Amino acid sequence: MKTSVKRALTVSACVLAALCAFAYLVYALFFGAGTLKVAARYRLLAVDKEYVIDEKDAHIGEDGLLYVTGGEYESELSGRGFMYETLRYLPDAKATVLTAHFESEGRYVKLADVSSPSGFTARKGAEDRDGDSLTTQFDLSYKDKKNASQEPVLLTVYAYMGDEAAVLQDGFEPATFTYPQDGSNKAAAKAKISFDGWIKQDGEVTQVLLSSPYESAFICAEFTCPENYDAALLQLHVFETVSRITPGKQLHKLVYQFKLNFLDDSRWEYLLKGLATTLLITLASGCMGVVLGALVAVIRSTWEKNHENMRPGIGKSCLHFADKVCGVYLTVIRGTPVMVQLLIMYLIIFAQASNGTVSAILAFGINSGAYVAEIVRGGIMSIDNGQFEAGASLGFGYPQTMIHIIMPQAFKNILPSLANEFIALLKETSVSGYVAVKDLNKGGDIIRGVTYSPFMPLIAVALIYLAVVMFFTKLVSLLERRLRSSEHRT
Amino acid sequence: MSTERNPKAPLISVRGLEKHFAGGSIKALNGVDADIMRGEVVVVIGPSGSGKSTFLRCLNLLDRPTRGSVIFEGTDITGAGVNINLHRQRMGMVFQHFNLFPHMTLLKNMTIAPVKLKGVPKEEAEREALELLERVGLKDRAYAYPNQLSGGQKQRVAIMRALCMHPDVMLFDEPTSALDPEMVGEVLDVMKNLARSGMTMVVVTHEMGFAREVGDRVMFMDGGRLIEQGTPEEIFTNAQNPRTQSFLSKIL
Repeated sequence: MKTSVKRALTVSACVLAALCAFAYLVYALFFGAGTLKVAARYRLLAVDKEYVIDEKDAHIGEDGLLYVTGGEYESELSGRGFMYETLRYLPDAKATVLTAHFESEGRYVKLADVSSPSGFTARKGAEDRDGDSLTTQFDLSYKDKKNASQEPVLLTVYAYMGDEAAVLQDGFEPATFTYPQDGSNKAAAKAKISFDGWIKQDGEVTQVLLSSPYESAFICAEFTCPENYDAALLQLHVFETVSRITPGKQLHKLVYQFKLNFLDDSRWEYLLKGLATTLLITLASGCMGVVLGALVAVIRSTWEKNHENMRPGIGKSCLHFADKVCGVYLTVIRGTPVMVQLLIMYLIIFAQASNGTVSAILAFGINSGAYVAEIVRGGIMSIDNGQFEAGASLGFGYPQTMIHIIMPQAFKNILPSLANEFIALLKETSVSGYVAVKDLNKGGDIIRGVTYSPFMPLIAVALIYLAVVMFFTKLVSLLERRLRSSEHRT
Repeated sequence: MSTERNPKAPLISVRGLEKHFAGGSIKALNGVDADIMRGEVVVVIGPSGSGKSTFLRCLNLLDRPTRGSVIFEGTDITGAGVNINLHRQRMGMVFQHFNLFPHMTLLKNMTIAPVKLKGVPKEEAEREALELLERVGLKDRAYAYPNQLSGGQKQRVAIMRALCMHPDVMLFDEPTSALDPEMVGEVLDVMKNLARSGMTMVVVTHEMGFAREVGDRVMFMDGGRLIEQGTPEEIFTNAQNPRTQSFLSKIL
């Protein structure tokens, strides 16, 4: 009686504890209010110099907005560059005001009114000029046509200037913008972009694009420098701005990352199409490799086994020559990296056609053929000579003996090695991206290039490769079992 | 007992047969002349390294002779332009290590050559193979694989596999040497029955009892030469050559 009471108490305590933990988890994941800590490192990327801007140069203002002010950094810019900075978002902020501060050769910056394709507009407000410094205030407004979400605002501001705008637009797609809803479908905010201490020359900003990834905000500004430099552009690269939002909304971040990397703009299609391309290249070059490899293996093993027993003549000379050619093929292909072979195929042999997929299939097929050849040759040589003699004594010619008697046995012996080669081939094709093939790996690359977040695309690509490899491994083990059951070794 | 049906024309005629290995440094055969008559059972004996196996393997060109000729049914099969595969279809061979095809059932082992090479319909080849298997008591194992059999059973199947091609001559290369002693008898019985049915046989063996009982002629080889030949009676009881006498004295 006593023990049962004890046990009941223990169980209910455990259940209660589990419930509490679960409730806290749910709260933390979905409702937790975040606090932001900024630990920022800014890098100014010049043409051949890198600057790290200190953490102390960033602070959160009284208005709860994030201000970034630069320290003094020596600049030796020449040529051209591109400037942008990345700031993490404050979950409960209504707008983000950014102040960028750079010491450099003087430029003149003028920002103009802009509107984004997603309905975001930035109207230029007050301009405040103080000596070499210019501060431009923007009134940001957004009309959510779809009346969509309650997501807080994040801004990405790209400022393009002058003739270079078109060039740089290629690299940055305007992302979609979401804004908090307050019951209405309209929202407004203020943004202030100011540039201090380096404004001397006249120039013109032709475009400002605004968009809103959830986790980060960019301000990108690009400047021309008409007189002192030849189309010189200043590039400020700010990254590793870490905001620790604890403990809340971790799940939100993951969901957002997933959405950003795979769902937005149907980015998952890059992976799907990439997988199809990878499989096409692997299967086609794998088949080519097996055919080529078997041919080379038969030639080499035939010469190896029979040349002492052959009568001199044209047949023997031809076989000897073929054996030598195969030897050179194996040496060259196995002695050079597959990537070099791929590039040679694409840039030299197929220089005219420039067909990446065909180049990749041929390069990997020829490469894999060399490895398969050695595997198959090993398989043939491992078959007891008595099998050849038994075949011959019954009246089978050498090719028939090969086909009916030797190859079926050799194939069974080498199946695991062949499967390994095939799987290695599948993984090797991940360098196809170098010859403009959009394979699986390249698909992940493209997504990464757009979203700037490496985690999801890379892990997704790795998991897909893993799944495909495991599938083929399973398939081969099934085949192996079937083949083994046809011999009943005891 | 077999009888010589056509004593005039030898089935196989060997002239000046030489076989060198390792670029001529080893002379396994050093000028052998021999005739094998139709229906005759010839037993080749001799110490190991005497060249008797090489002699046998030269008959169907598994080892290509360095010099000399092998005339089979009137054709010199060592000549250029001869399709040796056609001739081999009529020369069955049984190996010391059986050399059954491990990836095929017994039935497939026996029927693959007639079906693929002679175009015999599969059903007919299988019917005949089953009859042959029944003769050696292995019909119920027709769908077993070679590795499920004992050595003696394997060798019996190997003999039947050669017979499925209806050869004119059967070559036996030490067919019982790799067998456990208690299995030798069952294989020799099959060979004896084959001899009695009139098959021409060339047998390289150490089974002197078999040579004495079944052989029409015994050849003694040593050092790559044919030293002495004659009826079993002559060789075993009244050998002329001292090397024959010394060999026989060691093994009998």
